[in-house]
Amino acid sequence: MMEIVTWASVVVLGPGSIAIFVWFLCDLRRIFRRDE
Amino acid sequence: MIALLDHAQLDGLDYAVIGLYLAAMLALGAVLSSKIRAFKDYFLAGGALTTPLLVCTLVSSYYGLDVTFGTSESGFYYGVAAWFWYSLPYYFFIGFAALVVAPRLKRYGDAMTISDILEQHYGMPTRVVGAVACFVYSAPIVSMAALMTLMEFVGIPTGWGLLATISVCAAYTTMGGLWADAISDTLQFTLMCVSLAIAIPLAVEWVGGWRFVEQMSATAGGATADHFAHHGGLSGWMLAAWALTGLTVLVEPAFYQRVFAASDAKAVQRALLTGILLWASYDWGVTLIGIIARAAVEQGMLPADLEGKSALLTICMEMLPTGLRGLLIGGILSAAMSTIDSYSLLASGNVVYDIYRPLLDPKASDRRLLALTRIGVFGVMVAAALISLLFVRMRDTWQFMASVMTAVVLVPVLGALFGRPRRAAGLWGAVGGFVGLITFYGLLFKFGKFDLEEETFVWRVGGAELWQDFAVLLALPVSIAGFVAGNLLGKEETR
Repeated sequence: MMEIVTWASVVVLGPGSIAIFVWFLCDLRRIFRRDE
Repeated sequence: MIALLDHAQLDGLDYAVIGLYLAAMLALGAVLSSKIRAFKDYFLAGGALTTPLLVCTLVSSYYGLDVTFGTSESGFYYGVAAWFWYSLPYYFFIGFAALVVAPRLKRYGDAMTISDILEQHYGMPTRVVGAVACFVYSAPIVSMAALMTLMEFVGIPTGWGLLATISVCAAYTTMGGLWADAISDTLQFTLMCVSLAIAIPLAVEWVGGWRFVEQMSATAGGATADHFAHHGGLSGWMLAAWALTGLTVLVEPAFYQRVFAASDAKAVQRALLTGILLWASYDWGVTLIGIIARAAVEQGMLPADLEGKSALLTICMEMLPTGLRGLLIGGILSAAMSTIDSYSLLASGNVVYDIYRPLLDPKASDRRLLALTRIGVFGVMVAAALISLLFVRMRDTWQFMASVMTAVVLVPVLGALFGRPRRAAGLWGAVGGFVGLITFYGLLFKFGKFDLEEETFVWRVGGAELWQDFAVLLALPVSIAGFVAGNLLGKEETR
C-alpha cells in the first residue's frame, strides 16, 4: 500500500506538476494577448 | 555531524543552478512591472488570475520551509501519524474552503482583504484588530529563520546568502506585486515538486528498499514501533490539537487574497481541489523522507544524535549527486522564497491598506497606496529577518503566530460569512480569543514546566496535561463565548 501511495505521489509531483506548468504557459500567452 | 556538514557543501555546478534561478526571478519582476498601473493591479493582479496560476501560487505559497522541514520532522519522530493527523485534516478544511467559503467571498465585490469583510460587518475597530492579527501571522519570520538554517546547513555564509535572497525576493515583488509573486510561484512550484519527486525514490533506494518498514515495525516496544500506525502512539488530545491546526486554512490571508484575485469563483475552486492532490503528495513525500531518515539512524547509516528538523536536508545531501543537490537546494529555496514574497506582500498590505489608509489617510490616492505598499514589502522582509534572530525555536514561533490568527479572526469571519451577527459580536469575539490565548500562555509559562523530551511546555493540572500545542483548542471557546455575548448584548445590527 505504501509503495503504491508513494509512486502515486511521485507521479503527481513530477509529471503532474510539469503538466500544470505547461497549462500555465498556454494560459499565460492568453493573458498577455488579452492585454495587447 | 561535522563530516556530514562537509559533505553537504555545494560546488560550482550547484551554485550555477541556484544563480540561474535567482537571475530568472529578477528578470521576471522587471518584465511584469509594466502590468502595474493601480493598487488593485499590484495587490490582486487586477483580479485576473486563472486556474493554473492559482494552483501554482496557492500550493507554493502555503508550503514553505516550515511545512517542508516541520512535516518531515514530525515524520521522523512520529511516523505516518504526521500525515494522517496533521496533514489530512487540512485537506478537509481546504475542500470546505473551496466548495463553501470561496463562492461566498466572491460576493464581496470590492473587498481585497479579510479586514474589508470584518469592517463591512462589524465596523472599524474589528477591522484594525483583524489586520493586526493578519500582520502577526503574515510577517515571514519563521521562513526567514528556516532560510538561515538552510544557509548554515549547506555552508553558504548566512549574512550574504540572506542578503542575496531578500534582495532578489524584494526586487521582483516590489516591481511586479502579485503578478510577479504568482508567476514566480509557478517556477518555484515546479522546482519544489519536481525536486521532491526525484528525491523520494532515491531516498527509498538509498536506505535499501522497502525493508525498512518491516524493520521499524518489528521493534515491538521500541521508539519506532508505532511509526506505521495512523495514531503514532500519540494521545487523542494531541491528535485533536494537530487536526485543529487545519482551521487556519479558513482564515488564511493568502487564500483570501487569491480568491479576490481570481478571475472567477470556479477558477479558485478548481485550483484548490487540484491543489489538495499536490499538497497530499508533497506532505506524503516529506513525511516518508523523515521516516527514512529515522530508519537510517536506526540502521547506523546516519548519526544517532540527528535532529528531526535536519532529517530532510541531511538525507538529501547524503544521497544526491552534484547538480541534483543544487536542484534540491533550489527547490527548497523556492519553497522559502514563494512564501516570503507572498506573505511580505500581504503583511505590507495589512499595514498600508488595512491600517494606515482607513485610520491615518482616508483620502490617500491609489498611487500613494501603491508606493507605500512597495516600500512596505522591502521593510517587512528586512524586519522579519531581524526579528527571526530573536527566536530560538521555529515550531513555537509558528504555533504562536497561527494561534493568534485563528483565535482572533476565525470566529468573527465565519460569523460574518454564515450569519447576520450584531456589530459588537465581531469585536467581542476577536478580543475574547486574544484574551483567552494570552491567559493560556501566561498560565502555562507560570505553572507549567518545560518537557525536555517533548521539547515543549506542559502544565499538569490534577490528572490532566495541558500542552503548549493546545493553545487554540482552549482559546477558541473563549472567542466563541465573546462572539455570542456580543451578539446577545450588542445594540447595533450588522450592516
